[in-house]
Order: sequence, then structure tokens, then C-alpha cells
Amino acid sequence: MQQGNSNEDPFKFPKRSLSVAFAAGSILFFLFVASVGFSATQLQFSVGEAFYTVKGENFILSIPINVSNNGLFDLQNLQINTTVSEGGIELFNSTTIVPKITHQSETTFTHNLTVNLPSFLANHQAFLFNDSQLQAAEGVHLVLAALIPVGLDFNSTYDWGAPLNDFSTSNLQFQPVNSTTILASLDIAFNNHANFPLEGNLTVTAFGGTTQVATQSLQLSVKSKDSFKSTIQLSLPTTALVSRVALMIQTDSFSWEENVYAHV
Amino acid sequence: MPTSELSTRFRRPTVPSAINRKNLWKAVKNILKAAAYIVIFLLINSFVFPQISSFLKGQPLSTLLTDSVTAFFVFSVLSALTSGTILQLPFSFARALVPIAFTVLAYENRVLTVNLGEIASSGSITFSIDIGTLLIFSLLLDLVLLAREILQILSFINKRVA
Repeated sequence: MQQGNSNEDPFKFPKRSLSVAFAAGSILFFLFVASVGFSATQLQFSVGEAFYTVKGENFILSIPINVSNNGLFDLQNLQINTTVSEGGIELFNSTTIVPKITHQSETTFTHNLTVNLPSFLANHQAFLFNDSQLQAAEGVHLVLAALIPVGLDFNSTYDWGAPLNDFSTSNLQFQPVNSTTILASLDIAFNNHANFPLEGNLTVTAFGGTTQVATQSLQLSVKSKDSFKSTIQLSLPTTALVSRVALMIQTDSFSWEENVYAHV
Repeated sequence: MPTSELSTRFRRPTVPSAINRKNLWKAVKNILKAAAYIVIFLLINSFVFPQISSFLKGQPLSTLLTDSVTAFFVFSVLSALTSGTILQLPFSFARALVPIAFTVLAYENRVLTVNLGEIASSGSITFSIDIGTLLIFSLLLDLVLLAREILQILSFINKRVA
């Protein structure tokens, strides 16, 4: 009896327990991995057609996104991030966060990219005149099964249409009308390549030193992808000493001013 | 003829042959086990490794994973061939250490990035997954396996001492 007891392995039970624990843990681990993998395949993202709206000074690009979570786990902290840059310089970015999408449910939301045009175009005047290609880095990041962060990143390029593309003015032409008045004429032309219309005023002002001598405005209404060509005329008194003539364009989206004549 | 003499006559040759047969069967079993490990490794090497390499496209985790699996099977084969001897212990212990080493080293490169190719508007699409939590789970399992291996060594020493 004693002999039999001494031959018994005292580690038999702990070894067996650990084997069982390892087997059970492995099964649970692989079941979890498999169910997360299955849930990931049951996720459906659909991106609707992007549309833009102009609200005051803001240009808003909206992208409707539908997420259908037919998997076994909830999705948490869904983040959609868009960063737009040009030549490596970041211009603007936007983030949309959806805290939770429960399993077996569907959610639709809109990812908005808002650009304050006056501020943007004031800081990046080249975009007023030159068409360009913008690089957009978009990322969709979420936490699967509350434990596994996954992400999808993609880069794409978008065309930026300049609102004052091919902007040109003629030389200021002075033509005497009578003994007291001189008519100053200026030809202005540009193409609005932007995705938004230009609504505002175009003003030409003549200055004598710091004093305003004469001014003339015309209404500006140029649809998206349309051209503009016009001549603006300014009546100047012959006695006036014109030191400079300024052209100003004021729209909902931006303001821009340039001297078209300067007396040296 | 007395009974005791008879039994001695017939028993003597049977005991060693039974031991030999048992040992032979053990040796065959060990060789078969080692062969099974080799076959499984060759299958993984032919079918799974190329998939991993093409999926992970030269990321550090790809090399780490293939090296770890290779090391695991090498130690498994050696452990199977030396089964029942004292040599089995270091091989089994080394085999239990391989997944732990892999998990610890892989944790630094826990974010897997897979380039899914080009998309229509001249861009590319990349998928990334952070497997940090899965690695921690797997480390717990590896530690259980290591504990079992340590008990195996203690059990072996205990038997020898007894």
C-alpha cells in the first residue's frame, strides 16, 4: 500500500489541471478570434454620393455613410477622419465620431468637411486663381468587440476648381468725355471653376492719395463652371489727381483686392 | 518437475522480450510522433507561410511568426525523438518558451498593416489591426503551457529521485 503511494506522481493533478486550463483557454481564444473574424466580415459600409452646401461663409462637403453591423459584437468609437492637404501642407481636417453601433443594427450618419472659405482663401490666395489637386487622406477607425482596434485608411485626390481661374484685367483705358470728365475703362475676365457660385460685388475705386475720388460697382453673379467677362467704367473729374485704382471683389466666400493702376 | 522450476523456466525469457517489445513500441511511437510533426511543419511551410508572407508583405511580424513556428516544430521533433529520456526536458522547455518569446517580441509590432491595393481615384487603401489584446491573451495561454512544462520537469526529477 505504502509502495503504491510512493510511486504516485504528486504532479499528476496539477499537470492535468493545467492541461485542461490550456485546452479550455485555447478553445475560448480561437472561438473569440473566429467570432471576431466572422463579425468583421458581417460589417457593411456604404458611402453615399457626396454633396456640398454653402452656409454663409462655410463651404460644407457632406458624405453620407451607412454602417450595417450584422456581426456578433458592438462597434465602438467609430471615427472617420479626413485630412486635406496640397503639396504636403495640411489645409483642413474634419473628424466624425460615432460612439457605439450595437450589433444587429444599422446607422446612417453624415461626415461633414467644413471649410470657412474667407479664412481659407485669405490664407491661401493661390487657390483663388489656380486649379489644383488636393490630396485627401481618409481614415475609418473603430474598436471591434470592445478589444480590437481596426482601421481602414485610404488616400485619394480631388480637383480644386479656382473661383477666379484665368483672371485677367486689361490696362486701364482713359478716355476724355468732356472738359470736366474722363472715363476710365477696365476689362475684367475670369472663369469660375469652383463648385460654388460667386454672388457679390465687383468694385473699382479710384483714389487720390488716401481720398476716394470715384467708385463704381457692379453685381457679380457667376454660376459654378461659368465664365465672366465685363467692362467696368469709372467717371473721373479731370481735376482729380488719381494716384491708384483698386479693384475689389467681395462675395459670400471671400474678399480680394488688387491695385489695377498706380501712378508713380 | 517442481512447479517453481517450471515457472522459472518459462518466465525468464518472456520478461526481457516484453520489455524490449514495449521499448520498441515506444521508440516507434516517438518516431511516428516526430514524423507527424515534420509532416505538419512541411504542410504549414508549403501552404500557410506563403499566405502569411503575401498578406503581411515583409513586415517584421511575418519573419517573426515564420521563425517562431519553425523553432516550435524543431523543438517538437527533438522532444518527440527524446521522449521518456532526460533530454526531452530541455527540448520541451524550449518549445514552451518559443510562443512566449514570439508574443513578447510581436507586441512591439502589434499593429499589422496590410495594403489592400489601389482604388479608383488614384489612391491606395490600407487596412490595419492592433492585435495587442490578442497577444496578451495568447501570452496567458503560453504561461499556462510553460507552467505545465515546469511541472513535467519536476515530475521527472521526482520519479528519478524516487
